[in-house]
Amino acid sequence: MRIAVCIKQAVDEAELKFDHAGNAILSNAQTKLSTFDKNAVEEALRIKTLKGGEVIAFSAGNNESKKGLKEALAMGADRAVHIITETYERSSLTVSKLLSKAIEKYKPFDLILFSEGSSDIYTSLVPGQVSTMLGLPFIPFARKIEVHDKDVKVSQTLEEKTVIISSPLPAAISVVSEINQPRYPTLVQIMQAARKQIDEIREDSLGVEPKGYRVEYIRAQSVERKKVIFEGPPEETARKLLDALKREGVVK
Amino acid sequence: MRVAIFAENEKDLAELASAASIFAGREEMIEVSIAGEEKNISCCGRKVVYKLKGKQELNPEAISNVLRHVGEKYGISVFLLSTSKLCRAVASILSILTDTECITDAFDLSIEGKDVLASRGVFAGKATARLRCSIPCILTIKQGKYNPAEKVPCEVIYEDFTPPTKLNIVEVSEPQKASVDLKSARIIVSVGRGLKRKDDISMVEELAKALGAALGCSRPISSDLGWLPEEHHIGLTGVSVKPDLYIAIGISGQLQHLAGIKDSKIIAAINTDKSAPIFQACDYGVVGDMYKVVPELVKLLKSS
Repeated sequence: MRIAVCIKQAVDEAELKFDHAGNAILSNAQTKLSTFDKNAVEEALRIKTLKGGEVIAFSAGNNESKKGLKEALAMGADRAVHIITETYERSSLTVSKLLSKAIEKYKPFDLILFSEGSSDIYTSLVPGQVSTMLGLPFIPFARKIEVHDKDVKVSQTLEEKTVIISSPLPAAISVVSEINQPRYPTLVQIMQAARKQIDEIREDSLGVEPKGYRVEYIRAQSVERKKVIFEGPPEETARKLLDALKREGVVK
Repeated sequence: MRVAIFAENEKDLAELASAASIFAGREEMIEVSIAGEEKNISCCGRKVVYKLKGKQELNPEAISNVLRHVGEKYGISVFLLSTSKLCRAVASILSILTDTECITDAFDLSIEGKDVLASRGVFAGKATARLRCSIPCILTIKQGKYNPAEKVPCEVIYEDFTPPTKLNIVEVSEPQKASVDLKSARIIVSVGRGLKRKDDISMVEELAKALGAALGCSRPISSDLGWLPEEHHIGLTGVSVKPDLYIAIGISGQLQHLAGIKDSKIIAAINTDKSAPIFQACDYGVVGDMYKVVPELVKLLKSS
């Protein structure tokens, strides 16, 4: 079974800084492997353990993306492909086109896995877009995946329903973070990963015209909270809190 | 310009029609239904009705192909969809089928020449991005941002079209009748990793009861520990809420959680750790042991 897993080196939202005008500082921002992507890598590895085969991680982005790919390799992916873009800011549509063109070069695959959305921008568009460009059936928001020889059965959680969907292979699936607990690579695995192969593809070699939304600006969300803090014995702080909430008119 | 709207429920449809009014008048709006049969009343001038057989009404591939059919037949410039999980998937597939740009979770729409400008929350709600894309386009509209439009009599057109799909919907389990309605709750009491044992949820429930509040939780409590069903999970990957009062108990305040509560009117927090990020994101905070403060609150509420 050949499995492709698409990951993103995301800007670390917890470390994101803003300039004086409130604009997000994205150049040289700290990055991390998108939180939920670890679940996608884990699921690929789980399926490989059951069915054998190979897991190849794909990521489109600037040089930071190498870090995420190395993490996927340390977790157990066999190979990695880096589609090098000049900047971090690429629309979902452009990223999807880059990923699908790169995946085409490494065909055939039985499964393409994604997470439900990236932890920084969370458009959740890339999985469906890549699948459709590759002409594959797409099952979003998988909570459980059962792989058979010719088809796959997926349990999917929507807001208020659980849906069981089956699809012939090859297929593309996005997974929710509840599907598994991602493993932590050991130090030895991290060192071994350094020796694994990362193929490089330049974005301009794929013939993709940048398209899709353009960013006008990204500004700090300005919700000012009062931040009144009470400290002291519980009976005192409880009373102060309750009085404050009554004054606000939110507790009667 | 002609607009088509699609959502899984009436409330979302009414909000979409309201958002659509910047692109077109009512007579140029089309509501797409996959229910097979429909009454002649809508927020749009026309209702185009398809019948998806079996359980295909939950198949994103089938719905995307229906919308492409609508797009080609009626010359649609803008598709507006809700931000439900199903609609997000539909939007992503449709954007490739029709080779159009797409923005999810959009609000504050405006038109500038041949472009649409839309805002959306990014970086777990820490920032807002203003995005521009050219028309034709697909937008999924953030819930609760537009006042629902009114329904009036409309024209109904039935279409006979079976969308192609490789997916087979095997089984649908209906809601384990949601025991909690966080979206419309006026007060929410929510618990996080500060909780030591599953049994201690009863203590937090008692506070919720005294306040007439709904019970929520952060991700570890539902997803990792399974101490509460997932419908209680508030945050980026769970439910987004906007109560008058949100009380975070033993919740450190990870950005993913804060993203789901930022529209609350008042946020209160109880946490032992004074340096917890929740104290930077609340209106009123108590630094203290939830196991001592919560019973005190219950006592005070019961005596008043």
